[in-house]
Amino acid sequence: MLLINGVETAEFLNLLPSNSVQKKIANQMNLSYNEYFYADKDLLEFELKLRAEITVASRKLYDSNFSFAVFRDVSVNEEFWNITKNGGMELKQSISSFDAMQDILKNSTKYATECATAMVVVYYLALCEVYGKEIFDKSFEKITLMNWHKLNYLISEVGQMNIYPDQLIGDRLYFLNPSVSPKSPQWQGENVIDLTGNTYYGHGIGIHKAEFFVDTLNRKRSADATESAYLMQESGRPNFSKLYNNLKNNL
Amino acid sequence: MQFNVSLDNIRTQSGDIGLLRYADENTDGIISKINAQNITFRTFYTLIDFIKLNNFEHLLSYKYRLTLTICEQLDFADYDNLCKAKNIELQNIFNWIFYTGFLQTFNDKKFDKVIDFAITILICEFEDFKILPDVCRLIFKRNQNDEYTHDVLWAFLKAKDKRILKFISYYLTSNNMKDRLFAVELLEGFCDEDTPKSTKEWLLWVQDNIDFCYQTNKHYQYSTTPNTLSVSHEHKFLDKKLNSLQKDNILNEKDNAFVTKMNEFDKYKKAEISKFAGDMRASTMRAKWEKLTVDEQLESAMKNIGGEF
Repeated sequence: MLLINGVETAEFLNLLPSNSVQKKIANQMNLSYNEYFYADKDLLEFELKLRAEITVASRKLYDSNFSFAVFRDVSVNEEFWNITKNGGMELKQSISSFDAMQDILKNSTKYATECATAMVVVYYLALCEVYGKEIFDKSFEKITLMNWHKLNYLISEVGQMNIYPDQLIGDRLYFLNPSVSPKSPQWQGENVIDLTGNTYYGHGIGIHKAEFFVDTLNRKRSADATESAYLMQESGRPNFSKLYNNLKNNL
Repeated sequence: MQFNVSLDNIRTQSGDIGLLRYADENTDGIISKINAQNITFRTFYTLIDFIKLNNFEHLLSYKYRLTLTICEQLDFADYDNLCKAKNIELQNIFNWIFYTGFLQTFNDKKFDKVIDFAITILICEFEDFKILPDVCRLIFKRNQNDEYTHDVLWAFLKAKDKRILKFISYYLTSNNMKDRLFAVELLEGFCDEDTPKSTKEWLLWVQDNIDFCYQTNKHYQYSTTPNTLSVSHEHKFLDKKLNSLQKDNILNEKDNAFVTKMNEFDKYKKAEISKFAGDMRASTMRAKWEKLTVDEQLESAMKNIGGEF
């Protein structure tokens, strides 16, 4: 159930455009047996907007030519990024972080990385939309993209997985492949963004339902494997309050 | 050509260019020399392009031919069958690649890729755990230089050998600060309770928990601090040691009833309860503690850590 301090939930829901991702997320909260209480309507609106932008960024990245590569074979546009010795992508000095993130979409053929780093790219692209260039550049002067390491303080929580009462649209989920073949450890699992509640974006596999991810990962198991890949219960999500407060403080 | 000239010596004394010059000047006898000498993988790797350029592949002995195939395409045709059969020749080749290559450098990322592949296959397919101390050494060496550790760390933590905790803990007392920080970072992922604050406390933590750790299959692709290994607090409370970093089915029906009770608590409470049991066993109260039933022990633990039961 969705509860908003000083606001009628039904009225709030009615004001959201029908069929919008934001409305779907708000409905997920409202139809849940669990309580989603927001003391501040603006914070809820921020969270809904950011979650929606996370799904938009996922689709944009999927539609681009951003490729899959293991850390050893990472590639970047060297005008904006350096490749670190351990396969990370490091923003060059004196470069606008906003422009560098947009370049991943614009010159996507020049970029390749693995699934966890792609998720971090999704978060930054979503924040580009929510913050705008000026605040994004100010908030993220330095960026290193390398799985869940070297995360900026403002998005550090996306690297942690927890069991929440519900998995919501815009959450980061994980398909674990416990019997992965040692020949291809990159398929030990797949990070995905929940796009609709039953469709997911995972870099290197695409946009599909859960069964497709499980089947794909199962094909990357050891020859004698008996355990199937599966979608874990845990989710990763940013600290929406922290990101909202950062926006407010920079306006 | 002098037959007793060592190709390894030429490379170490004259470098890769010197070795390749020697090969060029002695084309007729070079393959016999490679086949006759037990050269290092590093030296063999330097000669690969020369061998291919001269179409000498078919003249190589089985060991070097297979090595060439591995270097060319890690996932080669016979690989699955040879691994399944625990083919000793293949294991020896991977061992040779590892031991004569892992401390070497080569200005080609594919060289490290082959080393990492050899490590992964030795650990995950052949369960060849004698390499683990050296693999740990390689991981920490690469970490010192901010180099690529992803695959080799994954393989190391997949080893079904609890000594990996000990190998990591050796670096808690390293003179190098990066080693110490990395060792703590790895161990923190395995720890459910308040993390130890000092090296001494960490070493004690490893000693107390090493026999109760099991693998979770979660790695750094999953989260910033994955609990790649986790402590089975139920086994620890009951003092039932796990053999191989897997949750062996060593609990009886009575134990399972206790596990059901334990599952009512979160992992932090479980950690406190099992630590209390471990502390009791290590104290002068051991005999008294062991006379209690499991239910009485649990009740006593809950009372002493200040929880409700």
